[in-house]
Amino acid sequence: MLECDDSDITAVSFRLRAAGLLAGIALPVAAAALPPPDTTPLLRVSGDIAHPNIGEEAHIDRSLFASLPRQTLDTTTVVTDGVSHFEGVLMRDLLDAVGAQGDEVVATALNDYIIDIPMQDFHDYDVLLADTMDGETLTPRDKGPLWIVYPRDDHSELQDIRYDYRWVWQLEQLEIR
Amino acid sequence: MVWRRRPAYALPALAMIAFAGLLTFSLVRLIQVEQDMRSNVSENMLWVITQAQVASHRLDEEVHRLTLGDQAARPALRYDVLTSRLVLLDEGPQRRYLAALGFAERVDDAFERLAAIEPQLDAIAPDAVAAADSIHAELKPLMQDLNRIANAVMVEEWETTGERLDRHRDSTLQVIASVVGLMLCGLALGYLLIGALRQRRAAQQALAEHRDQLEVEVERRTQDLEAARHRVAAAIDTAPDAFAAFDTDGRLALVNPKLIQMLPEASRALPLGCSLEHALAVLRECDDNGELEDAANDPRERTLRCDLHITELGWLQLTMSASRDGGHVMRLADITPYKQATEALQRALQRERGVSDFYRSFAAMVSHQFRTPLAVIDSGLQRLQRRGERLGGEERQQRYRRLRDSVAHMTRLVGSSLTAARLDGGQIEAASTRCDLRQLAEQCCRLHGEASGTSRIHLSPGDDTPIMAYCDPVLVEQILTNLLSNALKYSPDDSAVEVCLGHDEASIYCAVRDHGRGIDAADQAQLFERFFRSSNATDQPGIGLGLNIARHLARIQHGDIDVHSRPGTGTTFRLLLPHADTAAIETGEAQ
Repeated sequence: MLECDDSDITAVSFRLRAAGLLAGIALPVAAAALPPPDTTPLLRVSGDIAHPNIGEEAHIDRSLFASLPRQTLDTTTVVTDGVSHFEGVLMRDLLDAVGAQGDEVVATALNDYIIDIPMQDFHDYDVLLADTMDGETLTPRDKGPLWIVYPRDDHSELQDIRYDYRWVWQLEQLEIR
Repeated sequence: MVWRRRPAYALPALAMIAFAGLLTFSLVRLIQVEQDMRSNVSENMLWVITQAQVASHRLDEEVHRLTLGDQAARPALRYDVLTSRLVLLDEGPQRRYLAALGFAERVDDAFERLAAIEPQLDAIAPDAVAAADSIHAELKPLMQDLNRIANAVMVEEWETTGERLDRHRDSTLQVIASVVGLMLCGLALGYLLIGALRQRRAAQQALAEHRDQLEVEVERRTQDLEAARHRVAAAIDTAPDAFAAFDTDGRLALVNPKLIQMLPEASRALPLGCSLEHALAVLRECDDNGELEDAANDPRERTLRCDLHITELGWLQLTMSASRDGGHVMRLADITPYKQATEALQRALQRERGVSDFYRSFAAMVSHQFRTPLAVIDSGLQRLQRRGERLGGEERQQRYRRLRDSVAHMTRLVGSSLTAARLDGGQIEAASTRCDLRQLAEQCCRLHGEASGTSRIHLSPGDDTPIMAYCDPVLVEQILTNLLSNALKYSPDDSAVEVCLGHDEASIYCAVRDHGRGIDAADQAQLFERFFRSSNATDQPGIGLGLNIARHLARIQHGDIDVHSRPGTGTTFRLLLPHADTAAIETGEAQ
């Protein structure tokens, strides 16, 4: 058990360092400030961020979203049947891109769903901000435009209702605190 | 005992099996409850349906707000949100849940109504009341359906929760019952354990008591044994006989003081631990009886019993026997007094036997030898009786002389027979002493010459130095008289009889030599036998006792007589006697 814990801790710290490194590499690129959005933003990020592009907010439009590293994730969900294939960007990458510096992320959905998510989650797990599901772009009439997806099948501790409520779909805004 | 022992093990085993069974059952039940509590599909359902309801009301609200002129109202977004809510209701788990409640068709109806609303959204504008009413007409039944579904879901969830609580209560009760059972099993096991511990303690106490008793018993027995050993040791120490004990390896283990007292020299050569063979060898060294020499070569094989004669101590009886454990015990008893008594008795018996032999021998000789001279005398007297007057004086005198000769012969015969019989009966013993044989021979020759009126006897001259022999002078005189008379008798009247003395290493001798007819070699061997008469001596009167007696007399003085004879030349008899010095030393006479 101790060894398991140790390895977990090592894995976590490694992941933290990797994240820092990634941020360090990404920063000079992004540090020049995010380009202003051309189209209607997919997502608005406000609060404690280093790189706003509209006022004090960072507006992520489709082109900016597409410029972030693409990731995929296969997992089950509590509201659908079977394993679904998601594509999108890691929450971690997105938050690094906007220079988020807080402990908590307040996620707000189009349907007025508001949830506080600890920043730690995005460092501990490869949480995906998905814009497609099973190859189809998510729309506001379904779970779109963006859906926070946890790697539920890879970590048994995530198969818990206390994580299930953090799966925010129709994500509209993030506030870093 | 067997049927009692089985429950002793069966009961704890049963309790343990029950314990394990109850524990397993409780754990299974608890795990089931835990898993049951995790399945929470339905719990989220009420939220989902309520949010759909809210979304429908927000759409209605936004439509009316825009109609009233609120430009911030965004009915299209609310439409999208309501759509997404209905999509969610239509997806896998949610769809199945609602289908189970019988609301699948109503969800489908809701999508149809949404589809009907979508084209009308563009017509919404401030003051476009008709369009708003049209959308409301579609939305109202949708909202009523959602309300009904929400009610049903709530009821369903409460029912499900109630059932689950029932199950959990049942499971909890079962677990409680199991725990009570476990407690009882634990109590039973504890009771059994305490009982077993008590029994063990009791057994240990009993064992300790038994051990104490045994120790006391052993101590008592040891004391008894010690006392017995002391008694035996005292008995051995104070015994009149000497004891030596050998262990199973044949090593000397014990010697009593009497042995050291009895054989101080030998006991010094017998240290404790020496072997049985060595002990016997030491005793053999002391012994001059020789009986022990003949004893078994391997004394361990059997028991031993023999008499030892130890110089300066006397007679000891050695008894050796094997003890039961394989060792040996040797006993030496002083039997000198018994031995002396035995010897005295032996001598007395010998004497009695000699007397008896004397009478028997004398009677035999008388009956055998006396008939002939008596017959001669009788016939001579008869002749004198018949023809006495007719015989001349000279002839009668001659016959009387012959009769007297016969009587004299008989007298000699009686004398000789008595001597022979005495010898046979062991009645004659030599009173040996240191004698000058020369003096004896001179005296004998002189007396014999005078008695027989002859001068034929010549004693060879010597240097007057005494020749000392160890002998009985009376017996020597008797022997020499016999030898001289034989020499005179069996040699011509004019021939000389020579007597000479001498000595060699072994003995002193006196030789009597005649120049007579000699003795046949064949007869020489039998010459000393009783009543033997040589074939060429029959013309002389004689009874065949003289030489026999002479040799006997010589031998009882540890001497002998030998003969050298050649027919026609003469015969030499030699009387051999022991040297005075050597014989005296041998018999202890010199002291």
